[in-house]
Formats: sequence, C-alpha cells, structure tokens
Amino acid sequence: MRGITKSYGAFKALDAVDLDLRRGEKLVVCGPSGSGKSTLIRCINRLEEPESGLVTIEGQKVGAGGAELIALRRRVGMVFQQFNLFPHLPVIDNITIGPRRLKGMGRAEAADRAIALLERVKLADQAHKLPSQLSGGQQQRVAIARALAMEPVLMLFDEPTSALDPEMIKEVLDVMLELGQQGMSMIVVTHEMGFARRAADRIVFMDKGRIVAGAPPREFFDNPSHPRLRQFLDNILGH
Amino acid sequence: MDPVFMFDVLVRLIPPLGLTIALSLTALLIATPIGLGLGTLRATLRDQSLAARILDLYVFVVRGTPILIQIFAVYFLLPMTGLKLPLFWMGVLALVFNSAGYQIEIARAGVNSVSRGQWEAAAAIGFNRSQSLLTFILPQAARRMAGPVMNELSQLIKASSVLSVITLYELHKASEAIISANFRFVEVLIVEGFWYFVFVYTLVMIARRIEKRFSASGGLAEQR
Ligand SMILES: Nc1ncnc2c1ncn2[C@@H]1O[C@H](COP(=O)(O)OP(=O)(O)OP(=O)(O)O)[C@@H](O)[C@H]1O
Ligand SMILES: [Mg+2]
Repeated sequence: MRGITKSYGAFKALDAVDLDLRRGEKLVVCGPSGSGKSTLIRCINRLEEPESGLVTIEGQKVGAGGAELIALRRRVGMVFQQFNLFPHLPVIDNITIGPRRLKGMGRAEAADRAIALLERVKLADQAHKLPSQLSGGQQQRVAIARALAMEPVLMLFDEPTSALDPEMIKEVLDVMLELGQQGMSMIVVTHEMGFARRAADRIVFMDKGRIVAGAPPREFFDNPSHPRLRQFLDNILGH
Repeated sequence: MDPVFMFDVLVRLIPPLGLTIALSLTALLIATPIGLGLGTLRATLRDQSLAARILDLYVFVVRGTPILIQIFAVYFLLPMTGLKLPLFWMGVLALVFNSAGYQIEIARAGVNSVSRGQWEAAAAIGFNRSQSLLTFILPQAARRMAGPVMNELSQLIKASSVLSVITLYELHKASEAIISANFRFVEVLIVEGFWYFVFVYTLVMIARRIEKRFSASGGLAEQR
C-alpha cells in the first residue's frame, strides 16, 4: 500500500501510510488507541474508503467499488474484534454461506469443507449450534473459520482477542499461530505482545496515523528505535 | 341490558362487519408490502438523499396528523385533482396512506437495529449490499419487526372505524345508525366492540401462526 490517507473531517486518521507485505509474511500492528490501526487494515479491503493512496494485492489494484472490489474482498479474510457472526445462522451455515452463495459450491462439498475448517479451529462438535450458544473464544474461532472458507490469500485481524476473557485469549491466539505456521499472510492488530514476539515476522508501531517504527520482533522489543515506541512498550509491558 | 336486542344488533352488524373486513384486509395487503419495502429502502439510503427526505417527510406527515384529517384529505382533495375513486377505494387509500407511513418507520427501525458489524462482516466476505440485505440483515430485522407490524395491523383495523366520517357504511357507521334510531348506546357499543375484538384477535392469531411456521422452518430463527 502506498500513500494511504484517510481523514475524518479535519482529522487525519491515516497520514500517507506506506506498507508492504511479502507473501506468507506475518505482520503485527500495534500502537496507542486512536493511532489508526483499525483504519489502516479497514482501508485494505475498503471497509473504509481512503481519500488517496493505492492498495495492490498480488499485483491487482483494489478499486473504489464495483465488481473488482467485491472479487478482491473474497480473497481477503477479515476477523473483527466483536466476531460479527451471523446470529440467525448455525455455526456451519455461517461458514458455508460464503462459498455456497458466492462461489456456487454445492451444499455437500461446502459442508465437508466447513467441518474440516471447524476441526482446524477445534470446534467440529459445535457445528450445529447457534453462535449465541458459544463462548466468545469459540465464536472468534468460528469467525476465523468463516473467513478461511473463502480461501483467502491474506487474513486481516482487528484486535481479535480484545473482547475476550483471559482464558479464551490463548485458544484464539493458538489458532492464529498455527495459521501463520501454515504459511498464511496475516496482518494482525493486537496488544498481545507475547503473540507478536512468537508469531510475527515484523512488528510495526503506529502513532497519530503514521507508521513510526517497524522491525522484526527481537529488534523491535530489545532495541526500540523511537521514543514514542519506548514509552508505549514501557506502558504495555508494565516496566 | 336486553340480550334479545343485543343479539339482534349482533346479526344486523354482520354485513357492515363484512365491509370493515374488506376495507381493512385490502388496505393491509397493499400497505404492508409498500410500507415495509419502502422502509427497508429508506434504511439503506443516505439521510441526505432526495428519496430519503421525501420518505421522511411522508412519515412525518402521517405521524403528525390525525387519521381523521388524512381521511378527509383523501375524500375532499383527491376529487379536486380530477381523480374519481369509488368510496370503497377512497377508504382503502386513506388507510393505506396512514398505515404505510407507520410501517415505513417500523421497517426502517428494524433494519437499522441490526448492527453495522453485520453489514461489515458480509461485505468482508464479498457479499454486495443487496445480497447482504437479503441474506443477513432482513432475516434478523424481520424478527424484530414482527411485533410492531402486528401491532400496526390491529391499529389499522381499529382506524377503519374512522372511515364512518366519509359515509362508508362500515361497522362503526352502522352502529351509529342503530344508536341514533333508539339511543341504546351501551348495548350497541358493546356489540360493536365485540365484533372489532373478534376480527383483530382472529388476525393476530393467524399472524402468530405464520410467524411460528417461519421460525420453525429456520427462516427467521435467531438467538434467544
Ligand atoms: N467513523 C469515524 N468518524 C470519525 N472519526 C473516526 C471514525 N473512525 C475512526 N475515527 C478516528 O480515527 C482515529 C483512528 O481510529 P482507529 O479506529 O483506526 O484507531 P485504532 O488505532 O484502531 O484505535 P483502538 O486501539 O482504540 O481500536 C481515532 O482518533 C478515531 O477517533
Ligand atoms: Mg481499533
């Protein structure tokens, strides 16, 4: 992504951000509240429309709307802080509805694949429950399976564990860790620094709509380059 | 109270009850799809758009004026535009005008009550807006609209009594006529009220059945 800028009124939530991701790379985005992390990843699949700048995915430009954008969104998975499962559909239908309606996949094939995905997130026994009957951690893992069902080339996570109780955070992070090990390209907004240290190829730090620091985990934590980042790490790691 | 007299009134009010049913059901069958359709449309429009402003104004007028005035407006203003409708259809039109306004508001509120996260989740998977609306938003909104819509339908039936002012010989007009012949207010009004109650209650029961069948088939199933 090149020169992405997004304002709300006079306020610049993103200020000419450049960011590149290699295939299979796992990027963690952190930064203080309001620094533009959500806005950044929402500009990638155009849930927010940036005023200027360019996003390309595998050489394809992400357009402002229309069929191309829709096609692109099918290849970029997104996981939300609030899960956003479809409450009126059982777990299995939450997962199959995308492939069935958008890819014309048959019912049986979609169901088989959904079960395989549920096994991957360790929820195969919950397939026929409604989302409201699951815990937060289980719901979030269903949300991950739902996104994976579209066979994305890139997964976006916006604070996927922030709405969870501490016991459930690990089960979600474990699934994400495994996903990363299987080679998925991922951009993860999170404050889970343990996860960042283990899973990330690179960590970027945002402040006031800009990426002010970026480095592999070891360098990022042990040798913070930016004073604002040092202060942030001090706060979050509780030194 | 004279049971023989009341029974006589009960029977005499059956033909006017038929007109009340015809007026109400016709209006209901027209107003509900129009109102809920326009309300759903309204929820997807930006507030500043012309269509949204027109719909908002319409709802504002319907909600802000008594039905009596709306009925007179149809009765007196419509012929001035050169449009000549039979009395029955004037009555239906007045009821539709009124009820559709309320139902626009019901559908708009129902659709808007579904969180933005649902739209975003659908969009992120790759559904366009109309697919998202039909597949994810409306099934959730419908469940929340069912109660208010049923409420509105019983309001519509009761509002049809006001059509007596444009000389439609429906249930209330007929009751008034009987009263003016013998001044037995209480007995006649009890019978009239009984007929309205039976009609409204029957309709509510039918609507409940339909609603149950929907949720049993999973069409509107939702978290409880
Ligand atoms: N729809 C909106 N209207 C106005 N301002 C907004 C809107 N969305 C975001 N902002 C502002 O843009 C800035 C960046 O928001 P963003 O959600 O990207 O921050 P964030 O880094 O994700 O923060 P958090 O950690 O709280 O999620 C914030 O100051 C926020 O107030
Ligand atoms: Mg955020």
